[in-house]
Amino acid sequence: MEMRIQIIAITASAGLMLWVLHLIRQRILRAEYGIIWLAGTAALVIVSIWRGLLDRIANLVGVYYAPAVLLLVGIFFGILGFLHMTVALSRLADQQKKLAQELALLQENLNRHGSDTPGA
Amino acid sequence: MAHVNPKICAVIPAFNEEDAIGLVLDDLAANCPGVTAIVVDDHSTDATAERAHRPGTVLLSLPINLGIGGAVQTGLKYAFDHGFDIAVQVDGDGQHPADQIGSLVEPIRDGRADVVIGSRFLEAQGYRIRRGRRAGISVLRTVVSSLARVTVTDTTSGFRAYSRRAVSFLAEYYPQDYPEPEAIVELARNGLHITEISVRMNLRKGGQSSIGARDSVYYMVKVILSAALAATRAPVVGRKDE
Repeated sequence: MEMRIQIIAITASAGLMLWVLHLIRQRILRAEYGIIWLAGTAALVIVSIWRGLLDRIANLVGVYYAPAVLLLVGIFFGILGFLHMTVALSRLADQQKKLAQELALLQENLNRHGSDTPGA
Repeated sequence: MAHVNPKICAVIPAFNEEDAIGLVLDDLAANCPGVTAIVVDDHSTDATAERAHRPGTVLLSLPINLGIGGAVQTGLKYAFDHGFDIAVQVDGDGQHPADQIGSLVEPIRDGRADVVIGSRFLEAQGYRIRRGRRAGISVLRTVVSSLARVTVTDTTSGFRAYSRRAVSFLAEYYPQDYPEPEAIVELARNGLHITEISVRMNLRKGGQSSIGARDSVYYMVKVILSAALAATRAPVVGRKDE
């Protein structure tokens, strides 16, 4: 890897990591969802700094072009993050449904009993 | 369990059915005077709620649109919480004539079934159906019947009666989006006894089928996938009576 691209890679991945930390600190991103981002960006920072690691991994898995490993790992983390997101979304939709149903049932109860209460 | 005088309710999901909902309630009051109507207004934007606001009718107003699955389940939760022995599901568009409800609940009253599905196809009644739709119906019939290990001819029928045991299960677990075929598999796999009877249905009074031609491929894939996965789930326990 050339020096220039290494500096860009380190800056970009470290910047992304700091941004994630900032989002958690500002309570914009929940820590539970931030962890996967931190793990991903931390991995990027490590392979950007430790140049030999990428080559070693590439050798280990039999990839001739080392940066392809980086790409592969990046895509894998991306997909993992997306799956995590849709799971979280499903849970949210489920909870939202339950809340809406409880609200409709409570409202009906209130309407029925509200009219019996004197002064209501 | 057989009851001499079971407490029966009709769960009526309604989304923008201002033209039909009044007629549905009239029909129910005329033909089934002892049955409590529970209208679940799925956050309609028209006058559905106003039309359903009648003495003796329970009106459940959802604060957001949940779709048919979430709406029906809301009514079933109410039915369970208020001690109903049998809950009949009736569409809010006037497709399901109230004079058929008596025969729909009969197998449950007799203790012969937990779930009774009103089928349009059990007897030849000459419903005119497009060819593509007919093929879809027949695929669903084969898939659902084999997964549920019980023959169901009309898997998408929303005209159904449920025993308290079935209600207790569905109050906890009711599928979303196009829930009818999947619900059959879930119910059967959880040991609830399903039977079908032949019913007559009306043509829709207003609105359209909830499934357009464009969505039907998605519909088939979604239904078959979720029904197949439902068959692999371990049986669960529904709501408990206190």
